[in-house]
Amino acid sequence: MIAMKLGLLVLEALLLWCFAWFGSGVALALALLLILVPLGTLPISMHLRKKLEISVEAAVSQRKGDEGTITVKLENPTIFAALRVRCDVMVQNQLNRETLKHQILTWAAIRKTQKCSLRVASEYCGRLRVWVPQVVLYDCFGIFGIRCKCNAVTHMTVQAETFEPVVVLVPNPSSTDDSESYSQERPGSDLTETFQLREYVPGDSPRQIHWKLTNKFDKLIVRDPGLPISKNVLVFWERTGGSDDPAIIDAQAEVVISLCRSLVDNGIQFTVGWNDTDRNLCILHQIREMDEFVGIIPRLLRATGCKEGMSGAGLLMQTRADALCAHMVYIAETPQSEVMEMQRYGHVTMLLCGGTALDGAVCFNETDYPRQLTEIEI
Amino acid sequence: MTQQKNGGMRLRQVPNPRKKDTLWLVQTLVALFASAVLVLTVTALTGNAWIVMVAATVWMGIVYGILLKTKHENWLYLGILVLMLVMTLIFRRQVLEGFRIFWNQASDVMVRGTGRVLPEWELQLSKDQSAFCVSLFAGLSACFVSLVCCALTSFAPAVLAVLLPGLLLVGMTVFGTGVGFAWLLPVLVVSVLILQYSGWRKKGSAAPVVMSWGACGVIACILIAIAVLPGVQNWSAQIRENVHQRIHEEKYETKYTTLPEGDFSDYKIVDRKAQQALAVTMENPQQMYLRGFTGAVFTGDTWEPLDTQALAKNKQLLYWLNLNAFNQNAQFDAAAAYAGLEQNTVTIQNIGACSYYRYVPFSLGKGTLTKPENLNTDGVYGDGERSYVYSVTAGTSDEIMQVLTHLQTSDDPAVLQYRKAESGYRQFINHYYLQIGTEVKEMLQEQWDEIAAMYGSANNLTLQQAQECTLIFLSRCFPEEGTPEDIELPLAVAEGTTFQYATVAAMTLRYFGIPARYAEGYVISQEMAAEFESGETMTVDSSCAKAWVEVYQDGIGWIPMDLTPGIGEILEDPENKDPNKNTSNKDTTEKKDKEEEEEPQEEDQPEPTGGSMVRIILKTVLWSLLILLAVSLLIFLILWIRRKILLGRKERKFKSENVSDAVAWIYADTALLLEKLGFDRGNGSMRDLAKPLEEKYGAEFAAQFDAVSDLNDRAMFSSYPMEEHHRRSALKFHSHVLRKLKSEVKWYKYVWLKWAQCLY
Repeated sequence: MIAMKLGLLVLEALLLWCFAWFGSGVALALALLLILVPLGTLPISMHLRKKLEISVEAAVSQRKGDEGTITVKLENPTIFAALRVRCDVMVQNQLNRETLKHQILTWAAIRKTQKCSLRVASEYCGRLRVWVPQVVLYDCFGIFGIRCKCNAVTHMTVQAETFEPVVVLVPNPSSTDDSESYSQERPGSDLTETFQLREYVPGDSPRQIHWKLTNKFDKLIVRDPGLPISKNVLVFWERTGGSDDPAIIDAQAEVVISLCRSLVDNGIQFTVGWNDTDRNLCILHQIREMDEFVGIIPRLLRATGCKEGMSGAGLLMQTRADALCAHMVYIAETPQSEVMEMQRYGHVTMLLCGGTALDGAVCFNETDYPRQLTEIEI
Repeated sequence: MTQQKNGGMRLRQVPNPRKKDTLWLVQTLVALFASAVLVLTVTALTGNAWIVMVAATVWMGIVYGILLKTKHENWLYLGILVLMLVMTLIFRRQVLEGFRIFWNQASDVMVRGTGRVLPEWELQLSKDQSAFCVSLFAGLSACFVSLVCCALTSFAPAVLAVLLPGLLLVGMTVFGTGVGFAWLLPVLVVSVLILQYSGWRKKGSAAPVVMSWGACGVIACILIAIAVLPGVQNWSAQIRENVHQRIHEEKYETKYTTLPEGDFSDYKIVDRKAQQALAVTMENPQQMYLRGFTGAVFTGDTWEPLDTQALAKNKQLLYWLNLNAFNQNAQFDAAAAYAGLEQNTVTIQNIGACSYYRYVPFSLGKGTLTKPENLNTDGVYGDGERSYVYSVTAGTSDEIMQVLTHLQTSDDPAVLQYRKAESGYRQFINHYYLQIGTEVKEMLQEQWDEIAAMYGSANNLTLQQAQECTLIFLSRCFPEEGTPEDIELPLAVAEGTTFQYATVAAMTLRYFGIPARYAEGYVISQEMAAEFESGETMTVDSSCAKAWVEVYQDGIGWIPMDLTPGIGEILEDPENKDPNKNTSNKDTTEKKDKEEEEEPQEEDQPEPTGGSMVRIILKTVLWSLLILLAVSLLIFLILWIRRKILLGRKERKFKSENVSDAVAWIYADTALLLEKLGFDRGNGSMRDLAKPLEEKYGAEFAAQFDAVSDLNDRAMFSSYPMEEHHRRSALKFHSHVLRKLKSEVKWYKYVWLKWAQCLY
């Protein structure tokens, strides 16, 4: 664009010189053209900036290394064409903060939608944020640019490639596996605890009918049994203190996901968590079945790390000590000091990637972790 | 298709699979247009082998288009280069011969444009091979030009857009020809088209480019239609004239320049005070006619030098003469060398005269001022030079006679050789310096014929009779005593001046068969020269500025008419002969003298050497500074207005009747100020900033921040109305943060935040 502007400037100077030196009216006409056309396009661009609708679409998920399509759409409902539109498209892997920017030069025909396709591929898993931070409308010579408001954003998940570690749950004599709390969100099958009382709806089991209350209110009242919450296993991913190496982050994410998947496959209910370094929060999710796990993967894959700051283990101890379990898996690059305190509550299995080796910790590296972690005792 | 890569991520744009890639056609057209205008311009200049060149260009365009379509563009460059290399190696002698022919043709073009000769190549192959050689070289050249155009179209179209007219203008300047101008406009149009195409390379869609071309084409047609209206054309021509005149004045003239340089289109007789024009230092002070402008062709009210087309026609003769016999501007010196006359040195300091010319006498010595490549016969051009030294041969009437006699009587083979060469030059002179414009002929032919009738016919006059007829006619028009006859004379705007006398004399001499031309410059009279001693600098002022007629004296070249043997003895300056004019001149001179006495000399000090150039540079610098200042002021004004508007808008929001809104706005602005202080919350909560704020500014500041955050939460999410003191609290914290910002940021950031971002 700069070369074009310089070119136009030089050409304008040449035309004016030709007019002055040769007295050429045609040169003057062309010189005027180079000035009038950009100026005349300004009001049209001003009009278009309010009317042009920009959106961006992307595939929901894709495999590592594969190319996914991003489509930037420009919908022009007006009777004017935008002959030169520059869209800046940004893509950021929210897990490792890798960012790419690409400028698209396109146009928007009258009352039509213009689509531009981009292909994005990532060698590392993570949630990709795709957005259009800036759209500039230019005249046909690219002189005056009018910025256009744009809030288009979409996401794409580059899925982790999982392996299948054998998870062995070693009994912990210092803790009981019996649940003492029940879910407040959904019913279960433990008839010893009531989740809620409600009116009968067709399909309810007659065994659920609360006859005493039915008699009292003179209508069928049903009792939903409670769902005991097992706090046996906690998988915690430490996002503080790690390096920026995307390969290590990728390996850790894949280990977390593979481990969770194995736990789900083995029918073990567990809690998966990590620390949100942006907001200094500890994020925990109860996982009972595969659907729930699949649902949290996009959130897990945008867990941005940081080198310094409050550790995830510390946050967990301070804010969510109730989530600590008898069996805890602590995945990190460098273990934080607070993890020792966690061991007072239950058995902590440390899976360390690329960092310093620690007694009792299982170490793995970013290249060979599926082989190194074929069996994990927790 | 561009691709970005960062670590493990890569991003690339792909053409829309549903759309047909049509841009290759536009790209081919652009390359073809660019090559065509360049090649056609070259053929217009050389006038040879245009079919071959155009065919080669079209062929290249087709190949380029096909390879673009099949996405094998890179093969083109390699393939064509190899092909050209092989062809050149196989036909190397023919290609070289073709180059020589092209060069020689370019030399012809240059002479036609500038009057200067390029050294020519001697052709080495037989003439029957010339056509093949030229065609081969033309074809290869056209291929190369097209290849460069194709490469630039593919990789740097904006460069091509600038390069095309740039090359053409350079060519036009070097060759000094207007032939290129006819091609300049198509080139400029093609450049505009290329600029519009620029940026779209490999984007796949031709539609926006074609639409841009269409829209601009329509507007351009309307503008061009307006531009070719007679009124606009006249206005453009007027602007051109003014620009040329202005540039000439700025570059070469000073405010003391008086001579019209042959252009009497808007001449006015003005009595001017005598101003210093030249400072002349002579080794041997003598009478001297220092000519600057010399006119060969008279058209109504303008004298012009012999045009370069005429020089080009006689290129061989003139170049040969310059190299082997004599330089046309130093012919007398060459002749005088055979008579053994001595040479003197003259130093000229041009102070107030036009520096486009060098002021030289007819007896100029052959030296640094004359170059054989320069075929211009009329005048020696200085191009702004204001100080120069040259040698002259003594050139009084006696010495002229002595040289003439020697040439006529000597049997020296060198003299005979010189006379032979001079006879060839005389034919050239007789062809071009005997022409009279029809307007002047119609005006004066009756009077001329009437005088010539005394000797028979005007066509059969001897030299002496012709001289006598001329003198009779001039004495009637410009009598020594009494009033002139009522004869309508050319150049009425300069009536009674030496400019009119010289013009009439030149036309009359030509009519009676004596080659003559018009000369302007400064005359150092014998009386004036007698007052100075050898090596003493004499001041030549504007009162010495005159025009005179020069006559071609067979054998010795152009000499002033009053020095011409046979005429010089009886002819005197007509201005001095006319009693009325004499009186008026006398009065003017007296007046001038008085004025000079009255006014102190210091006030009219002439400018130093090169003053004009220094003045131009100073003026340019001054104007640049003024423009810079004006632009800076304008930018400042725009920034000031913008800042006022933005701050006013912000203030209105802060003073909003709805206190909740106002508090939210104040808080948002505070957040922005904190961000500039380095407390960027990113995508997180503002409350996350409390800790770093506490670390940096202490607990009190952090507490204030928390309180204001609470206020903001209330303003944003609570339905309870807020009170005025909440606004004051928010404003207090805002101003607190602002003070910190002002004190902490560097000065350039302070300016940026204040004027560009309008934060305060």
